[in-house]
Amino acid sequence: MSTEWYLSLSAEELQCLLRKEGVRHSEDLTKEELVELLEEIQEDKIADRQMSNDIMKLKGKKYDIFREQISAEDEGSNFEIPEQYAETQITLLLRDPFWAYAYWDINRIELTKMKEQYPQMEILLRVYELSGFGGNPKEALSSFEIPIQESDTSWYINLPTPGRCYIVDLICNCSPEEERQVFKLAQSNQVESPGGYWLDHIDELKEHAEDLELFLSGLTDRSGIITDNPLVEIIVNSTRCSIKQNKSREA
Amino acid sequence: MSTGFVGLALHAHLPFVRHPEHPKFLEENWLFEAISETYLPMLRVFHRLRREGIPYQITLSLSPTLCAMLADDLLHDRYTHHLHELIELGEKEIERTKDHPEMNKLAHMYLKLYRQDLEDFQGVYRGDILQGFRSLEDSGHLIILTTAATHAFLPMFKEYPLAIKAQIELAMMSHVAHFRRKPKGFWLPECGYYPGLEKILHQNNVEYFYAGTHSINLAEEKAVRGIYAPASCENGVNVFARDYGLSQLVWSEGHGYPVDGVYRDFYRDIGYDLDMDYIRPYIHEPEVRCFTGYKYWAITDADSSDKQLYRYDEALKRTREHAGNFIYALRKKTETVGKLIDREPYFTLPFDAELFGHWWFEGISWLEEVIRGLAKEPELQMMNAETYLKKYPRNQVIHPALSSWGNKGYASVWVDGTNDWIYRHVHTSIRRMIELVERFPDQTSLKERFLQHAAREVLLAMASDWPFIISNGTTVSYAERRMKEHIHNFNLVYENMCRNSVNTEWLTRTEKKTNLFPDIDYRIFGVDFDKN
Repeated sequence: MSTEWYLSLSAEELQCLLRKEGVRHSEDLTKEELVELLEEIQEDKIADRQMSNDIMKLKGKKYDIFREQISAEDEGSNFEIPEQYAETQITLLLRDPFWAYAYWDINRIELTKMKEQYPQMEILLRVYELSGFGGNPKEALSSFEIPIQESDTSWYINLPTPGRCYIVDLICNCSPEEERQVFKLAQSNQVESPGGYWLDHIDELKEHAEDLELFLSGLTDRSGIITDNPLVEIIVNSTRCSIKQNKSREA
Repeated sequence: MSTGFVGLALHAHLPFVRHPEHPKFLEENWLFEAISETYLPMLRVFHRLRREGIPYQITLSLSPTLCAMLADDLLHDRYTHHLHELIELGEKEIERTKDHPEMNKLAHMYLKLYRQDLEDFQGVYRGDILQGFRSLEDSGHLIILTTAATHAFLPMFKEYPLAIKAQIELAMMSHVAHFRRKPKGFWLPECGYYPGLEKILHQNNVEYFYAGTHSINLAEEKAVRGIYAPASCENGVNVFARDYGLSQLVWSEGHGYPVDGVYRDFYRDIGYDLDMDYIRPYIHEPEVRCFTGYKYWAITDADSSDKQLYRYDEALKRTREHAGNFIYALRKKTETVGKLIDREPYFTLPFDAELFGHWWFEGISWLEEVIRGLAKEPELQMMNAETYLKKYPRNQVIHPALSSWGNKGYASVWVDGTNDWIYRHVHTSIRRMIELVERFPDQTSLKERFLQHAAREVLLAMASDWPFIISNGTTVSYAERRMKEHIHNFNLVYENMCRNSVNTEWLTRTEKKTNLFPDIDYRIFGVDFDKN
């Protein structure tokens, strides 16, 4: 997205784009500040993409047939697809142990009726953390809410604990100013965040050098660089701390 | 002294790209470059080694979309035309570089390569290069596997087991049609595994699959042999997990073998370097510069101030050194890991086939040197998964973890801020396709064809290639266009079927363009589909 394109948008549209990026409370910013913030986010995304792992970088070369993007006319405009669908639903996709992507559709007619009935209504995501797959949200270990705007249709949700299951309700709060009156519009599928034996048995790994060697040997390249994985990082950092502590105690 | 087993698995795949509506289409070059630089040179090496009696066992996965393109007459004709153009350009290059002996030598080398490709493609294989691979499977040198029908990254479709089933069953059928035998193993696209996927694999008689390192290393149970032996799922399907450390000797973009300064620079190409008047007939119309394959420069060491000319002989010498280094690393790891587990270690080494030859030009020579070197090693042995499972049919039972070989080991490449929008549409199309099968289970004639095409479009929309390309930032507009095209086409069928009508002219035109899986049965998206 170019600066010119951002500048052509209204402040409300820019705030909406920022909300989609997870930035809330941007109402007090000037238009220039909003544009600057969006550009920073885009730069971070590009940098993040450049940090792709080696396989993904090399795989990309398979599709390299020219060096620059051809800025031809958008041929995709010939194929129109709907922005949303009529069925009210919410879907949860697991991205990694700590993040899930949620997208939803709300039937426009239903939404209009709700707004007529409850002009103050607001929409929320309620995220439940469950102990196991198939668990009941009423018996959730914990839950939290994410306020969203009517224009939002998707959200990246931070999952607090690896190895747990999560489910999300798309809910409507009819009277945000007074006593809460909420009802569920849709419930998502459950996702199970990966954990694994070693995450739950870090102490065992610390105490058994051969297990640690076996675990790390498949994850480490010849320069000693360990593969980039959030769970491996937790395990390795914990074992490293322990190894350092043991060494200093021995000293 | 312990022995190490080397399980080399190559995965060849390209998305279905075929545009008869255009006289020439740039993205079809993905296939042409892969045939010229990877598939034909690889066949030459594998057949030569067989002739010489060098023993080897390699697993090669050939995706259904790639097989369909390799068996397509229109693409055969276009590839032949493409080679004729490259040969014509080569002849001009020999003339242009006649006063520069080093460059002239390279021009001769490229011309010889393309002439050899033409001779092999037309003379040896008569356009059907799959027969070259079939022959190697018949002699026991290759095991050929398949992968999901359109290379869907399966964890993104976990909620739709019927769609996963369709991807796997159709892949199996396509494989049998091309290779006359049902594979025992399955390549999961992008090594993408989710817990429970083994159930659908088992229903299709799959005995083993390949997955990311974390599938075993971060499993629910302690993997007693780490990733150095396959593990079994509860239903008996075996998982072979990638050895990240050894793979990085090749894959690493920072210090892997392919980035050595003497190797050929992938990006410096006369398509960009020469005058437009000279190069115009060999690039894309109108005057869109692209790679031609004629590349004269070496990567060059970072500390060198001048870009070095590529020296093929020197590069080949380096492949021998790098092959020796790889074998040394395998030997050392066999020693260290052999002490930690109760069996000979098995090293699962999966690579994209197109890495060899296409991007790493000398990669196929390296592969040949590795195979020759391993044949002489008493402590190392090339072994495919099926031979290993015969030797060790019982393996530790575990619950493997979600994994891929993408960034951080999960799904972050295929669902990020650039490509996440696709899933709303693809998932809706899958739901609607299942609905169509339930509503219209017994259609015949025109409506059956209409529904067959709807199934084709849904499957194509599930391909992992489009979100990957969008995230990766290469040819984004084409990938986005393809996503929209498949969703749009599917919706067109869905809406027409809901109105009880068929757009015959559109159907005939679209079937002709997208001729993938001509015998597809749309009921493959149904609960009661009987593949027999």
